[in-house]
Amino acid sequence: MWPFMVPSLAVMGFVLLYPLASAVWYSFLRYYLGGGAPVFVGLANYLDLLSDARFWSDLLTTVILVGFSVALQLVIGLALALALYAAARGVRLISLLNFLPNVVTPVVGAIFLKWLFIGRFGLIDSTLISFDIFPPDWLGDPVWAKVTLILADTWKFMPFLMLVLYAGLQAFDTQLLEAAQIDGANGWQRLRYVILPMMKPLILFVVAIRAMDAFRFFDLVYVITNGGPGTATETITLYTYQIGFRMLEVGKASALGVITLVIVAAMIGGLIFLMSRRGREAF
Amino acid sequence: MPRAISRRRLLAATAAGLAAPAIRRAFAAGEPVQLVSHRYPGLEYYADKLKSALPNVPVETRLMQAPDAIQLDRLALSSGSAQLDILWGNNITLVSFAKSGWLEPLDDLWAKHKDEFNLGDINEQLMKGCTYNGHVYGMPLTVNTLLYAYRGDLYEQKGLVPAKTWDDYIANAKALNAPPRRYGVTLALKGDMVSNEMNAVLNTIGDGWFDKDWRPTFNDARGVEAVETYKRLAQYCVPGYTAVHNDEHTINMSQDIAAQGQQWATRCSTMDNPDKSHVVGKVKWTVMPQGGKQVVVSDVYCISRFSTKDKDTTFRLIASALREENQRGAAALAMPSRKAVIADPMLAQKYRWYPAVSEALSVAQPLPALPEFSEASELVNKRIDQAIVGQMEVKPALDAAATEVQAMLSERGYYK
Amino acid sequence: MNRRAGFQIPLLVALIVFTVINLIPILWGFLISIRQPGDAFSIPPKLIFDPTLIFHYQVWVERGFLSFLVNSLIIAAGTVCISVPIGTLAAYGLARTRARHSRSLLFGLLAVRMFPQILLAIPFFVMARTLNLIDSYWMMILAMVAINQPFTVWLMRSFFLDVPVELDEAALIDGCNRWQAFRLIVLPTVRPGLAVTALFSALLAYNEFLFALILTGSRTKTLPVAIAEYGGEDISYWSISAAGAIGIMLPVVLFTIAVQRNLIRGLTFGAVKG
Repeated sequence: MWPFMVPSLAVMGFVLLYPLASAVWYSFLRYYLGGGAPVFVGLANYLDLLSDARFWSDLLTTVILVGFSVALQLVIGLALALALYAAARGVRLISLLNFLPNVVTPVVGAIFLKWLFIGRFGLIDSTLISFDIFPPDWLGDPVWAKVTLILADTWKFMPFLMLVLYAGLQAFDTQLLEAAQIDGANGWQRLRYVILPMMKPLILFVVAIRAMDAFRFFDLVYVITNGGPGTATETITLYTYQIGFRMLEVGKASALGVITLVIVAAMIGGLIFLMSRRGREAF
Repeated sequence: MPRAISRRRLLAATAAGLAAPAIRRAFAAGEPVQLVSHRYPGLEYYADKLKSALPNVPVETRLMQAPDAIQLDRLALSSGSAQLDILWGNNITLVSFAKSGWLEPLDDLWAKHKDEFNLGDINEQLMKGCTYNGHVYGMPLTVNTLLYAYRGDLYEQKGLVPAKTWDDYIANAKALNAPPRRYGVTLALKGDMVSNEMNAVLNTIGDGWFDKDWRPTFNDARGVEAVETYKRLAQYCVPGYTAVHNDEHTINMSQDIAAQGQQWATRCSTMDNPDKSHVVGKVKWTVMPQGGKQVVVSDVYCISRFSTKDKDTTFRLIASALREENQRGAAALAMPSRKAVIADPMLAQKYRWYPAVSEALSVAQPLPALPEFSEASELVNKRIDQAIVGQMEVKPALDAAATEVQAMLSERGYYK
Repeated sequence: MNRRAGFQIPLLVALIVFTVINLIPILWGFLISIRQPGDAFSIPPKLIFDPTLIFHYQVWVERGFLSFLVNSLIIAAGTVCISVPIGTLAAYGLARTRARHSRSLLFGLLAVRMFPQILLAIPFFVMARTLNLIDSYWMMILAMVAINQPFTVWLMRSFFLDVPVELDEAALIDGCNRWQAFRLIVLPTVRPGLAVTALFSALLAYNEFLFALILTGSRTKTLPVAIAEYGGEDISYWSISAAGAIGIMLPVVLFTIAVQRNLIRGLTFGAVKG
């Protein structure tokens, strides 16, 4: 079967292996983008980062943002998928319209959301003010800023979950559901004991994919809060960008990239390990 | 591993095939001069002038947001790439790039073309800002400073006068604060704007950023007091100020959401444009309290040392774009760099903020000409943000910033 | 499930309400693009105003976004045309192999998706410079293909796993060779999967910002880069980026509509196993 893989491996070997290997190699260098030859420093960048309080607090922030936003989009995505599955008409149009946020260019989507949340002249605040409601400080309060980013990420990526889960429901064996109905199971029981168990592998799969991507969550944070207030919404990737492109410490940024990779890999590995035999096949 | 070798050969052949058209193109005649620049209306104007500056010298321009432009410059220049010829910069990037050895010294070209283009007319202070280690590395196009912008009508209603001290400034903000519809002040404390906002207060209440050996002074007792002052001011500020940059700041003023703030001179014309503003004719400008010492910046064109184009021609391109008549055309968009234009009484009549700009320029103080300032300010700005929003106490936040900056600078060879 | 009218009507209403709320950010962006900045950001929000198409006109006519759109389309199409075929081949190989290292290869591919891509910017730039491919479509397409491969391979592999191996075996017994079995028997059955994979690959290339910023130049600049150029430093730029933002969505929406039928079917197909 290997000949089938040659073209793909050749392209990746040529175009992907070199950049990846260089990025990993940089992580062992003191590589300052302002000039001077890079110097090999071994694990110094890694040790620097692991003893850096900002790294740990950013890691915590990232985990919080990823955890809540993936959970929220799973709940909404699943509810929407079930609703679409139950609806008799309009399904194609509604699923298409709800899918749109996912196809919007990330930078553009972030700007759209900023125009909603920005203090006082954003759509939300200006609407609330005209109804004499005192709006919360969406971007300036450490808790609200996190909520804003979770809502923003959910808006952008929930459609992906919706579509995949809806497709999963389509492929469902309807006989099982009918049998459950005949046995007198109500809607909730059918969901709890028939649909969810069947969907478990698929749910784990999309959650894994989303968590993987959300961990590198960048555009939305960069445009909407830039990590603020203070460091309340600073994610690992934003910190990587700061170190690499603002502090110009390419070596240290690369080390942070490798650390991110290891953390995400461990997280996904753990998730796969927790899966049932059937779930494992999803990978 | 015979298969691996043949595969590699295949790759090389593919690569050569793909690269061929690009290589051919590079040797084609008449390659245009490449400009990478920040974008705002004033710089769009000068980029256009550059295109038509010399007949038979084609120019291609890429204008983008400042961080992207700087990032692109650094990537290209640090690898010695000849893809860029003219670079937009400011005083900070100029010293930084000059120290890295990426910029062409312009002393000889300047002297050679001084008379033809009347370069002696360019403001000396601005030329000084284009100098590093005694060499000229750039040509200033504009000068821009932060003004004390305030709502004349609201001040009059409440019987307020423009503040002479920071305490009065805060008191005025408090008097006009009426949340959530209107706030006393608008601050822009997102990213790089922190150092611009803080420059005035750090130079008047505080002892500035660094001493002469580049040791931090922003965390001494007076520096702490300066940041505390800003923290008090922030109580009356439009919320979300750590996510507010220049545009949001402008809208806060133009949509009647804020009563005062530090406003760039380039933003003044927006206030009087009925398409963009609900406060036409109502905003007034003066100098920041306690003697100003607010930030002043300049947009600069530099020439890349790695450019393979004729440097003399490139310099003449820039000098032509800076001709007096061109600068007059841009006067509404940005304060020009020529003395003859700055001092023109006609302009002061036409643009009602010009007197305030002239006065402010006489007391303004640029950010420190430290080549590593943008890196240092990344560290300091984050800590100041943390202090102002209350994530950290002011003193420990500034001390942490000072420690981080010193560590960074000593790694770069300072304090020896 | 429940098909009673008493259940259907509230369900439909709820779905429509949700859809409208979900689309507010895009609708608001559209409204910003047809108003002067003074009207666009006022309190209370202005819903009655003189609409203007000046910003749309500026974007497409005066500021040359049309050529950036063409560049974006060339790069997206180029990426799909290279990435999907070679990724499909590899996916088929991986789905049908019993080799021990295939699993580690798959996870290696996944790791690429976990690495912050901004860090690949510098090596990609260095590579483009060495090959003298800056400001050419090729470098951008190659980079997009490479970054896209892991996802393409994973997705297509899940579709091939759904095709029973007996189908291949029957073809082989009938005298097909491996290639013929793939080309004539297996490939046609995964066509909806190909549509899904093509859509996601096209989206990735079409929407890419950072790599486009550093690998393209004035000749090959793409739409996301062009829109981001108007991100700040004058509030009339906000209207311009809104107009550009609405413009950049149109081709994607059309493409999504075109493949929508396949999208659901394709995902249904592959989704059961992931």
